[in-house]
Amino acid sequence: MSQLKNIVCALDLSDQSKQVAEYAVMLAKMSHARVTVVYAAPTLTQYTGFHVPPNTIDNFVGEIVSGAERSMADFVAEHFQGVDAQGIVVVGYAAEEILNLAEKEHADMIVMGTRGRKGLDLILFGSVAEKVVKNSKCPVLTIRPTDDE
Amino acid sequence: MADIKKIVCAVDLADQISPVVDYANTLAKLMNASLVVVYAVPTLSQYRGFMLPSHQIVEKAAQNIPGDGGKGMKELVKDEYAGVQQASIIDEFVNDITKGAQKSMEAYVQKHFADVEAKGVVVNGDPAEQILNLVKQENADMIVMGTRGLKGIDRFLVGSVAEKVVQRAPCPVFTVRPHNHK
Repeated sequence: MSQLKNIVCALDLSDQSKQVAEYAVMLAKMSHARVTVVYAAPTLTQYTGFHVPPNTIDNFVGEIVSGAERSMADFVAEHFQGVDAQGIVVVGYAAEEILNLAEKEHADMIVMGTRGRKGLDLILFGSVAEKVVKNSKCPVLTIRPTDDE
Repeated sequence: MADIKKIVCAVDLADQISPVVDYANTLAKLMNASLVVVYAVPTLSQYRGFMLPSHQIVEKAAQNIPGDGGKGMKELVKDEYAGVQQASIIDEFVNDITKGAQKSMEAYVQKHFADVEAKGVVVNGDPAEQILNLVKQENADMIVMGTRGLKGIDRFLVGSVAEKVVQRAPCPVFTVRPHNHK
């Protein structure tokens, strides 16, 4: 039988995240799994070529990360009650970071939403979820937001 | 709390060892859910324009039309019936495959889903489309499927079945990459 003891739950801390969390919590409770909740903050390294002092970008990213860490702590406390869950914030390309973390944590599954990039970006590069689904070594549970038609 | 009572599990009947089957069993037991196991038989409608052997039958039939002014008539008969004949030979072939698949499905479900509540369904048509239809029809709460789909350039252009399902499913989709089972 396949085991589901270690779950990585990827969130963007948007409205949809509650729904994603709900499924992660349900699975965690049923299989007594540990959950690592992750938010990947963008690096913004694509802006280093612009005439912006690199320090400015680093400071800005730093502020986003510390803000996200606070939001993450609140989110986990509120939506992962009764589950062994730990929230972390990473910096980088979302799909890559999620896959790296899943490998590092020896995750048995990834739970995530399908909303990500929009419009042209989506057509050209695919969503974060698509990349994770295609490349993940462990199974991925994707949840599409109900308001998204 | 999210409640999962019915799971649609898309299988490839050719795979006797599949992590998809394993995970579907695990999830069904964990959540006390029932399974609808589905296999989609491709329609082969893309071959309708090809010259299949039935074309010769039509040709023969046209030759047998009596009368001297028959040339135009013969052409007409060929044109009229060639498409029909080819379509029906393909349909017949697909029907045969479907009947065979239904039998295989029964055996598959008995063998691989013995200790959960499960029923097997064989459908015809575009797999993603058919899986999504079934999910709606069955009011399923989750889909379990493999990520293997189209290969090579087709996959690049069209995207895999799983991709389509992930993008459009009304319920969560549990995707499993084949052959990396831990």
